[in-house]
Amino acid sequence: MKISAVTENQLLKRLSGPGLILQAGPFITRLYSSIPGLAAGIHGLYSNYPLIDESPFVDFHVRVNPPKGIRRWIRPQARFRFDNFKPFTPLPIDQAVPIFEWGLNWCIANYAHQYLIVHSAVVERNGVSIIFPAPPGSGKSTLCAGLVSKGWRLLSDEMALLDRKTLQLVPVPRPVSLKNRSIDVIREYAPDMYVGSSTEGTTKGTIAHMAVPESSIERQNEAVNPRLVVFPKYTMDAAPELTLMPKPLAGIRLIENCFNYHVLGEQGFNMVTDLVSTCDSYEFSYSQLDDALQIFNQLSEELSS
Amino acid sequence: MKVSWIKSDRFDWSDTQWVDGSLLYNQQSGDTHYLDPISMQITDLLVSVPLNIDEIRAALKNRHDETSEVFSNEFMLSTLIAGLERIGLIEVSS
Repeated sequence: MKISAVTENQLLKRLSGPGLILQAGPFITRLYSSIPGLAAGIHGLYSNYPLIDESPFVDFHVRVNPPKGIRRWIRPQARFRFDNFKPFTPLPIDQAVPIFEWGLNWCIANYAHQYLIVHSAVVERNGVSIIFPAPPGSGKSTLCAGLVSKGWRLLSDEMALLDRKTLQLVPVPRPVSLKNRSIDVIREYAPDMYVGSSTEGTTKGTIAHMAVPESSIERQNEAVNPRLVVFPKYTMDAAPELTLMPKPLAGIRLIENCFNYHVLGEQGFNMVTDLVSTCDSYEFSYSQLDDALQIFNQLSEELSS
Repeated sequence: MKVSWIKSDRFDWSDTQWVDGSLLYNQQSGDTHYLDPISMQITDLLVSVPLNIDEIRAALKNRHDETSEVFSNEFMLSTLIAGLERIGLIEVSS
């Protein structure tokens, strides 16, 4: 049974009571919230995820609720709590969906050290995976959403999880975070994809999330070997350009995008250098999603044959 | 007498080398460094014996085309050696 099997009201009851258990890749999260807007957001974005009644183990116990005091009624706010720890200041209540998504990212990046975690999108087609490491503003999520809307499997929009024993990429498919102009770009480019309502005035501007295709959720326990590392850069009006990178430079750029390289010490170094040795690394500048799609479709066909 | 350098015994490292350069991991500090191919060769030369700049240049000549910039540009070799000393990979031999 999927989350879509329950109504928005039933979902809110679950969130307000025993909590909603969400599985994304290897992580089980139990979310509690009394905020109707968050229930609506989850209902839209997570409708194809399994509806889990109980789990013997939960990785993250998360609450997104109004803080106590006057802010419950006047200019109401929402606060993210993780195991009763409050890592962030409260934000306006209409930002509850981004608060949840950002908070869960924070939980994984800070606690899942069984993986080397790289700030990147990860997609796969025909067994050919691409890691797109990039700082915010590089067009990573737009590119990821564009490819996923045209048949690529989503492993993650936000972080590559590399297994410390196998160096395989472990999927953690969650809604793709679109910002500002890219929201309309994806709505227009992929009208069949579900994009939730926009939240304005966040610290990152206007945010909306694109739901994960059902096929990516069904394969969320299926790890894949890393094959390509591509550093994307959106450049207005630029012709698409894919340039092979020297391996040491690719290694340094990967390290710059790691969340927990320093935590893993020498093992992190060995993983990064193994990854760079195994994969071809490129810089990629683009302005049109169709150009990117054509290039990466062709690459995946060449490499899978 | 010219200054000689040797690999610092305070710097234990792991490295991965490719044709276009190397990455080094300092096991004491946890820092990671990029070394261009010539710097890596200089480091290899200084693992067991101290060498001065002339000896380093002579040893590199056995491995490289003499027209390489590292031989024609005095400043370049000094800069590479200074870079290795700055990150603590080599030190002045006493």
